[in-house]
Amino acid sequence: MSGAAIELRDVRKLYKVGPIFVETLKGVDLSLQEGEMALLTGADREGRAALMRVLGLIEPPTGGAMSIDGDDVTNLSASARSSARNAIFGYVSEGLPLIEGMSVYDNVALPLRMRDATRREIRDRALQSARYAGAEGLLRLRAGRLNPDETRRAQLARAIVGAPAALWVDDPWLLAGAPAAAAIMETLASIRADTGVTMIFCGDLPSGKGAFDRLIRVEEGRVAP
Amino acid sequence: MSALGDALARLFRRRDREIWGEPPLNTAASATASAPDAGYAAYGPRSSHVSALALALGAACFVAMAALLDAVNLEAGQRSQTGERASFYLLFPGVSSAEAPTAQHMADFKRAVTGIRWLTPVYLKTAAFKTGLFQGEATIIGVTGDYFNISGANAESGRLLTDLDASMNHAVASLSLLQAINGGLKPGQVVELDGKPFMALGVANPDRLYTLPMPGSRAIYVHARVFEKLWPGHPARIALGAVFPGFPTGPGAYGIRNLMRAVMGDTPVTVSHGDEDLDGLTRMSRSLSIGLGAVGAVALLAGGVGLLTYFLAQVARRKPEIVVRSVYGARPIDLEVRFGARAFLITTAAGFSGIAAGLIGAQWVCLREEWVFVFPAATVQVAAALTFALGVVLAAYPALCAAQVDVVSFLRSAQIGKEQSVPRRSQPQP
Repeated sequence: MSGAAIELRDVRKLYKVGPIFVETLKGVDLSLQEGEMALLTGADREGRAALMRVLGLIEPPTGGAMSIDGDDVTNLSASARSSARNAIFGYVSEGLPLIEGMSVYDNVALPLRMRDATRREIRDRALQSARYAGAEGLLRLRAGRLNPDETRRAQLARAIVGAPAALWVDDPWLLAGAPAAAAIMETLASIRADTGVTMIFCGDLPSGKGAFDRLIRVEEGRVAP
Repeated sequence: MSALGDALARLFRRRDREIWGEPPLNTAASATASAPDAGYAAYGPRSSHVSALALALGAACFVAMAALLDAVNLEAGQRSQTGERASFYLLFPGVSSAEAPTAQHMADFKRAVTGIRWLTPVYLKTAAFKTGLFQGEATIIGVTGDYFNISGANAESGRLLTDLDASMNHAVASLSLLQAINGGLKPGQVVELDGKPFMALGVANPDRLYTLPMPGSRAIYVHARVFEKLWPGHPARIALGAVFPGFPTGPGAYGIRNLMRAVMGDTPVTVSHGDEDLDGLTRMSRSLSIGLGAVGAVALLAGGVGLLTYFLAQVARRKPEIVVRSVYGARPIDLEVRFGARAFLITTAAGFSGIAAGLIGAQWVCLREEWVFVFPAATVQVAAALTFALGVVLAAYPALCAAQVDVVSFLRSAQIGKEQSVPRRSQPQP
């Protein structure tokens, strides 16, 4: 694993709400360095979530330019965008839960199965990532049985199993300061230290800067200076 | 269904054990291992089984009904073929009424046929019958080579008159019965037709013609059509036409009606030909067939709609999974294949199981009732085509729905829910 450098230039995002268009991102300029651990903050409805989705290649920007490691990813086709997400990003989010009907192992292996990896490769890497995330003992369980702490660890294992260049973390629970969450944040910090992966968080910190290199505040659809 | 769910869960656990070995004892995992498997239970395909069962039942009904109706029709047809229908060498003049054959008829026959023992007309002759179930005296009121169903106000005439009818004291005797009573041709008897020797071997069923070479002569079974072929347009044919299958039945019915009137006075009677009755039965059973087939088709459709609803509900319920797969790189085609293949497999498996069950059930009934089982090829083809079409439709639509799940909308709604559930900085938790 190594980090990804993400560059956004004058990125705009329009949403159609009924008959009108609402511009959520109004020209975002942002540069994330390789291995950087950044937190997007800002009030609700200021464009923070939209920027996260654009950064995570979940949706394309309406205007501007975006590149990852120098490659332009602004106008990728849906299929290419899917492949890029699988190759570049790992996601940890409440909105992307573990699939309940499957075992934790199958959940962790999911990104690799999208790549048609071999069974042995899947098994080895799933084990390795679970060990990294502290979820090794959970692999045989059904996803629906896990407590919040275990769920995050399993999600983290799933996020890093594909050796992503960037981790996309949108989970307020991790930032709320609970002891279990703090332990997972430590795990994330150690993963970054070991792999140099770029990490983008979204949410609000109770206080201070925490372990983040940078706090990026989004206001009225722009990155605040 | 829960047993099935348990079995599947055991299968999963066994596979996990094969991969991971026995579970460690002192982990959070083992601590929760005894908790109810709520996640799996929620995932369990209960309603899909019910709907699949409904679809299978539909297909089974569809096929079984067709097979059984075919068998019943065949049975009815066979019943109507039993007894002595048109008989052979009817060289019997004039049967349309109680009149004796005309001299012209006699002359025609004598000229055409030699070496035959002539049958005496037996109209309105009381004779002792001892054949089959019937024993006793009956008044012969006519001859017929075919079935005529005579029914009317008089209870005694409300029966199908056959050689074997045991309850009537008036009989419309068939030629074979007359033959049995009065002699006539015997097997082995040689007759000359158009100067050629023929050996009578017995009584032939209608629509069958057997030829069998015999030393020194030709032996055949002959029936009225042969007669017609040998002597086309012969006046006797006109007279005989009333009583032979394949010839117009109107005169026969008319003749019998006259005979019944002579015997029974003005008692109203209805005379219908056996073939007409069979046609009526066939028409009725065909209508029944269509009706029951429609019921089967409706059941098939109902099962299909049930499955479609289930699959759509599955897509709705598994939206988080679809979103996760999409975010992790699944293309729309991957989702379509994933959801479509399952729906297609369940639907077609249910349908084809139903078809097989229908066939087996119909065969069982036929065995039980001693009917001849007829493989309803056309119905099976229709049912298979319907099942396949249902499978395609039921697979395609939910698959398309799964592929069109809006990831962004889902994440945005998740975000809204998250904002509502997570304490903000301005509202710190105590």
